[in-house]
Amino acid sequence: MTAGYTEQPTLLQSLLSVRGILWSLLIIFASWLGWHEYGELLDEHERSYEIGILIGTAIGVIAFGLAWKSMQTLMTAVLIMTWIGIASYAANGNSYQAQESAFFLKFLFSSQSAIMWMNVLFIFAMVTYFFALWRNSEFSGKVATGLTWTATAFGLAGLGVRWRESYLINPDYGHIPVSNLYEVFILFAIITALLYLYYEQKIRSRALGGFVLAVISAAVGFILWYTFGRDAAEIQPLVPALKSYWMKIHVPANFVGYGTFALAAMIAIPYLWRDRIEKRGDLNNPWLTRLPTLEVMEDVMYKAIAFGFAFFTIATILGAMWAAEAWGGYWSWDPKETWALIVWLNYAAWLHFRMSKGWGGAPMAWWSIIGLLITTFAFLGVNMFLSGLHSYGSL
Amino acid sequence: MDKKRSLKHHPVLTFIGSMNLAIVLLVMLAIASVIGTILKQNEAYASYVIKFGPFWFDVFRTLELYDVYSAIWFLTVLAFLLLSISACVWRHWAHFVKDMLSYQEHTHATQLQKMGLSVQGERVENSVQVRDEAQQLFKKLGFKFKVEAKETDTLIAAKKGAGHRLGYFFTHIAIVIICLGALLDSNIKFKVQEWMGSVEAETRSIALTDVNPKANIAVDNNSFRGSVNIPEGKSADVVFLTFKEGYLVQKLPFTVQVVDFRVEHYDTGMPKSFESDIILSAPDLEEPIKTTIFVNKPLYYKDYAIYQSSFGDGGSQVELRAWPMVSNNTSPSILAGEINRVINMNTPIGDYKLELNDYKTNNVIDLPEPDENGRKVKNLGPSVQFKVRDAQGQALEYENYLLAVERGGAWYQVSKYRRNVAEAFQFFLLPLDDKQSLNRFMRFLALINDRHALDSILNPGIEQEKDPVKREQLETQKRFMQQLINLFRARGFDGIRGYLEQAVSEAEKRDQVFNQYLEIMTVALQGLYLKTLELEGNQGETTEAQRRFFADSVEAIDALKDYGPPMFFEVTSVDHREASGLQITKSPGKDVVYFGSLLLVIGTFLLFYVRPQRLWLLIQPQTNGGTAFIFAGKDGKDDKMLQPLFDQITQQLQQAPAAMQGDKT
Ligand code: HEM
Repeated sequence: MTAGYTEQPTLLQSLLSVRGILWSLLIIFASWLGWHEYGELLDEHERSYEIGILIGTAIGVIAFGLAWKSMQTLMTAVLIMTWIGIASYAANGNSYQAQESAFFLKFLFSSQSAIMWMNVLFIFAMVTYFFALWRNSEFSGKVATGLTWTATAFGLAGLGVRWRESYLINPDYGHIPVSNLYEVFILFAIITALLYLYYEQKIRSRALGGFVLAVISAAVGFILWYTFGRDAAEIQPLVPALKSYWMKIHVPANFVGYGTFALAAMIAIPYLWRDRIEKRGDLNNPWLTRLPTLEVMEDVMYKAIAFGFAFFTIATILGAMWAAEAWGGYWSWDPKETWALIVWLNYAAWLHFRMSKGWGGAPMAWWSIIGLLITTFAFLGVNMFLSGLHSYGSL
Repeated sequence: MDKKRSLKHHPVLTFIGSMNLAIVLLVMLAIASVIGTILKQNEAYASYVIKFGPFWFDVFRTLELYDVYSAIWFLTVLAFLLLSISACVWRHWAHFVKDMLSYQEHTHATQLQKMGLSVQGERVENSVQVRDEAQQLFKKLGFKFKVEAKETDTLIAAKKGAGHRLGYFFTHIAIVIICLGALLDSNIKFKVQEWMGSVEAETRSIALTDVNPKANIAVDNNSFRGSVNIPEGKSADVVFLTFKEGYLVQKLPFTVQVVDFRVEHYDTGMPKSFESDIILSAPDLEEPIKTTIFVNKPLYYKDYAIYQSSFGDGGSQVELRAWPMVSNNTSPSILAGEINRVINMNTPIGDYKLELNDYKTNNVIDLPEPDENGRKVKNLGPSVQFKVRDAQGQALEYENYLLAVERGGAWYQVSKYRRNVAEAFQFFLLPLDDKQSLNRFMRFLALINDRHALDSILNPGIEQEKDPVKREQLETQKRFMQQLINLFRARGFDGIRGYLEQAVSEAEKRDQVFNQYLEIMTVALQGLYLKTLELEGNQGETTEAQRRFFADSVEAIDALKDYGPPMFFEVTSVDHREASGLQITKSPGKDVVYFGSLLLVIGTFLLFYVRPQRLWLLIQPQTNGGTAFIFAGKDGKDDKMLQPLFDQITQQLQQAPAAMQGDKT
């Protein structure tokens, strides 16, 4: 056995493999096709920005897939599902009403159906993860992981098809589905799930799944209430202030931040649980063998927050740049803006505290739970209780 | 040198630059920001008094909670954070830079042995071979290294990830830069001027030339954010800044002209886009800038940015005919005015003010039942809203439509009126003649108003009557007719009924008498109407349309009692002028803030994703020709992060080249 230093393949090495080349070609082809078919629907004033965003996104997705192989499978599935959805509409005269009759649309891939599948599968996944943890069942754990991947695929395909649907209802209405609370909650569920799946592979443990899926299921609960209680799933045209390419980059960047903060907070729960068992000195407790070690959980928590902090910084800056273009000032102390700053300051303080040591792990875990409460207020509470310039989705 | 060092370690500086203080300040800023979002900022003081009561109102005011973000204490916290970051950077920079550049090649063997990651081993190869092999390996792994000979020993000191330290500088200096940029854009200068009393808000809405000079802000103001409404075709070289209870007038170094303004709507009626074609001219511009701005696409000019933010009526030009309705005059006077302006009218019956309030391009109304095309709504077309105010200040409100409406083959002029804002508008219809004009109705009305008109119709008959008794009867009848007509003109059918209620005591008889009166009056009105037609040049048999016109006119005259003014205002034309609401800002600090932001992002990624790592390999040649080594490693944050790499390198180092490999697996 020759035990040499095995290097992780670099992105370039992954790219130059057969699989890497096929993957890249697939994404390039899909991007080209999207542009070819629908490019002229985009706002003519912003054509050059849109091309930039498309190319940037394609490169980003390719790199993401090269760095994380599972992404390739997921995106391929999503592309196929989205394609079936869009093609089914096309086969039915591009009528939005086709979703009530065409089989694939009615039961699977119209945005409403796909998102309903996502909702249901996420809830199943949570239950299954907890069952797997309780029964210490390897098999159930695998099923739970599969359910989460499938739910994510349905969610992404649902958003993709919804994008197309907005144009089918009325070309004037067309826009990327990240424009109101209903749509961004879906985005939140998807991004949080993806982040979780990434760390699940990294730490080789499925024990945290139920906890993370719990926050996703809460989001699903909101989506369901919002859909049935408030008819929020209906596609509405954009107000002039939201008609901008900035929305495409500002909103998703923000939700990467929200997703990681949620993930960190949910990992804090099993962390505190394990911490208590260890502090009691109950070393034969069976949960200790099932839950990852404190070091591992703390590490994931830190990495998630650091990653989220970086993205949240970018998102806030992008938001300021957009505000400068839409409202006439990069900073107006608008409530949403101010709460983004509060969230950011909170995590900056968290990161500094972690470095200045002194405090042990449990307070930091509590703090990341409090961080999620603050984040939730910025995300939802501001829309509910405070009014301001941010015009999307009030409750 | 020594002095500097001691300053750096001065307890005050240590405290200010400490991480603990930084955390406290971050949390304080966060809490202050929360207050600012929960308590609505910059509202009128009166509304705060109502909300909190006088006691808490005063407390909150003293704490400057109504404008948290420019409160002294808030700015002080911010200043302290800046100070803290600066002190922190100041305290750290020297040893961080040194650390970044240094290979720590003077580390002793004993120090290496004590490190968290440290192993010792032996190799049969000679030290040169081991050194070359290690150098190659380090290079491959992306480490930079320095080879230091120590007597017989050789130390290879390697490092990687110096960018992490750079990240620290980038992020923290970035925050200082962003705050400085924001300071450039803040209204500090203003605040100072306000304290000194050289700036005062204007609270009245008056002509620009009359504005309080203390509310006029010169061009050289370094940053502002204001707005202005510019009608189509007009231009402006000032913007209005909201300030305290009023506004300030900010002079601009350029002129913006709005050439055209457009609004588009979705099929739901929601606005889809607003845009303005504008021309910006400035003395130092060779050619004016012509462009179109819309929401999300402003025009940038120097430090200024011009945004589309709202719209309104920009003084549409209105032409009207004022038909006199209480005299025998049949010719209207021609008036011209502008929306949001007042037309003063001096008439024989007193002074009136015509206040032109608004012009609407469309009036979509719901129909009680679908029309022949199955549509349930109808667009009545454009209308003008105005008030007519008499000398006592009493006003009636009207909305007159520009287009005639058709009803069962006849055409009408539509007007709506109400006596006060709480009421709903009432419709008022005037019949139009064959030429779609008001001439016939107005001529008819003038004859009704004319006390001598009946004479001219009836007198020939009376004069021809020879019998003095009969002649007297006819005279009486004529006077009676005249009285009835006067009563009807003044108070309509209700007036006649009201008169009967007093004159005739038995209720049953009243209806009978009313009908008799009506007949008599109708004869008189018909006479006047025929005369009207005759004056128009129509003679002979009346047509069906003309008879209908008569009935409609009588109905309209009956309604006149409530309609109000002594004139009817017919809108003959409107030249629509929209006003574009622009927001104009000057923010010289914007690029500074953006530069700081870029630095912040780069710095954040460097801090999180570049791991500062060091490796040392001390190579000690042995007397047997072999080599002993000490291999040690250190991670800037957490040795665990380096562990896997360290273990793998260790394995490689401990392994002899394949040819000499023994049994040790
Ligand atoms: C708004 C204010 C601030 C922000 C957003 C900020 C942000 C950050 C971030 C993101 C890190 C990296 C944390 C990590 O690696 O986990 C960091 C590290 C650090 N910060 Fe700050 N910081 C701020 C203010 C300060 C202040 C006032 C000080 C002064 C004490 C300070 C001292 C440090 C130090 C010493 C480090 C460690 C650098 C290293 O890795 O060696 N920071 N800061």
